[in-house]
Amino acid sequence: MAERLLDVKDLQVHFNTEDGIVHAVDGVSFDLERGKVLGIVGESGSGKSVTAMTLLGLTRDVNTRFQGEVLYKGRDLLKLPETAMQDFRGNEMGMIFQDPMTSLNPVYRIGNQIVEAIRTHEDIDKGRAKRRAVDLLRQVGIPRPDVRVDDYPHQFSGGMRQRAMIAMALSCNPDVLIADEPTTALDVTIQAQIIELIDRLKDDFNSAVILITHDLGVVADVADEIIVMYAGRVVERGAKRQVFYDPQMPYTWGLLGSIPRLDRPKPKRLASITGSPPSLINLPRGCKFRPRCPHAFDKCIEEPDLVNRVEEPGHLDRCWLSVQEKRAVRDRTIRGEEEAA
Amino acid sequence: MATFLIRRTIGAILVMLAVTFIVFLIFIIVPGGGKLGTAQRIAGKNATPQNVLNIEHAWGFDKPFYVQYGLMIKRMFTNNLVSYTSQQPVLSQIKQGIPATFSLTIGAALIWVFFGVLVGVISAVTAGRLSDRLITILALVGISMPVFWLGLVTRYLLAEKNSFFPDGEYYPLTANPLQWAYHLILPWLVLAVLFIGFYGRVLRGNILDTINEDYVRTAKAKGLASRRVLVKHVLRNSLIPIVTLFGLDFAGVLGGGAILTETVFDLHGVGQYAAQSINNFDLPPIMGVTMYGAFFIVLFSVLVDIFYAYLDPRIRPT
Repeated sequence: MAERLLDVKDLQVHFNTEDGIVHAVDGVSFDLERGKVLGIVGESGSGKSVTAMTLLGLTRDVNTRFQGEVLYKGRDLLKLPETAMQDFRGNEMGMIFQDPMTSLNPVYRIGNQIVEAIRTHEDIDKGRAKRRAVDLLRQVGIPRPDVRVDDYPHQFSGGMRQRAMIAMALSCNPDVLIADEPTTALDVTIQAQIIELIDRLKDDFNSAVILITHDLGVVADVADEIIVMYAGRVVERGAKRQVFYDPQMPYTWGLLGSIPRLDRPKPKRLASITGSPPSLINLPRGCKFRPRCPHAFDKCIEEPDLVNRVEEPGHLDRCWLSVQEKRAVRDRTIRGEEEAA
Repeated sequence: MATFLIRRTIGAILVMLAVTFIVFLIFIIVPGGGKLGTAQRIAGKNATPQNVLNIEHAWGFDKPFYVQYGLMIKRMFTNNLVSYTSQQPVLSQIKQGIPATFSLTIGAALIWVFFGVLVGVISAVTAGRLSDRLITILALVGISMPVFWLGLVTRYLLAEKNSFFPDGEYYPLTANPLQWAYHLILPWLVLAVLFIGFYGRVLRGNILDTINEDYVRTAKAKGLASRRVLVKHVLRNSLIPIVTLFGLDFAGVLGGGAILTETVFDLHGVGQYAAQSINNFDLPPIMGVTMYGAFFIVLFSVLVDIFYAYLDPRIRPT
């Protein structure tokens, strides 16, 4: 069995704000093994980015409250002091962000920003760090890296900047790479390249990847396990095959239905999930998806636990519908036929 | 870069030319009053009729306006601009005021930049807390206090009532640097107070904007220590707009803009020269000081542009 790098247990992140307590993450658990890709999928505001930032300790603030455990190789990161966390960030866990256009500092050369990351964690001279930056840029597919290393971010295209971000995140050879919507701001043609690059580098660097996205299509190729988040909770969790071919949560059906498909008859209109995610300050009672769920019934007023309901172990969901009922209505929901009917 | 410099220099020269024309319009054409009236204004309050006639002829007020303009330009650039009231050439008077004005400006600028940045950083880092609130109040008090009032009060309390500091006047740097600084401390501080408050407020806002930038989050995610994030990534970017502000303020004071401070502390700088000339309705010195001030504003806007390109590679000419 591969080494278990991360073990998140019942993580809760609450922000105290003037309007009330924001329950950004409410009881999220997952684990990650070396060499695996974990996809975290959900709409904006589902808590996926907060979860990722919390792993790196970037949500720490006077108004933030944490509960649960984030075990990295057995150490609880939530209990590490800030200075110890600084040694950890970038070194053991690297992160790349959504918008490469704004995620690099415009006033420093690309190479210097990578060198800065390297020299923060390793005691090597500038020349060697720079040679390593060139190597990294070559590995992420930047042409003529020995020249481009001295470019400023504005001289790079969006896709190249995201490659540079990946090079920077990998510069200290972290065990975990967190990619927070790494392709959302990129051209569709570039998206697949970036995902492939992340997947390939994961093997080259012998690390694990957490891939956060709102687009199930993005994780379809590379993820080993998928967790679907809604309103700060995990609502479905399973191997990629299970989530794609036997989805158990109506919310997942909605996400699957929102992917435009060319291999199916063209629907009258692209399916969408009606309504918008609930306020994280005043959450609905019971199942958090109930107000938007086309299949909600009396029992949904109680919140279902995240448990295994299907035959296969390891596939968990939070829905009261029986497995038979779900399998009966699922395909029509995914195709968006309830609305049309 | 070379073409950028050349283009910018040509632009600056054109602006200076435009300034001369505006000076000509404001001081000679717009007030009107016919050729004698104009000559009378230039001549000053106590001129004899013969003086006025001479000036009318010498400045060409009986000729078309372009001849007048040409004569004015020639007079300015050949050092023939003379105050008819005091019979002193304007240029030498300005030159006499330059040491005091430069001393005042450079010293005050060092103080206001240092404390402005300090105040801005402290209040941004502690935004919303007590120290930030206190600094905000102090900054607003500093901005709101009129320089002439603050200058007179400090001079009265610290130099006249109690002799902690010398009572005004400029002491040449070359004669005794210690005395020079001792004489200038009060004017430096009084002039700097306004700018400290203002720069502190502007910088605080810039920092609070920058701190939420994505690249600052990237810097934190790299594992940089918070101090390094603050200095290298937040402050470095927040200071860029401050440079423009500083360039123009510095040029303004250097160009004789600290009229009130110079006058209150009797420094005999260029600003005070301008103030005295205004009091005496002595036009040629005012024209001269206007040109002198405009020169520094134009010069420093070029310098700011060049420095800007150095600070922000995105606007660097390629």
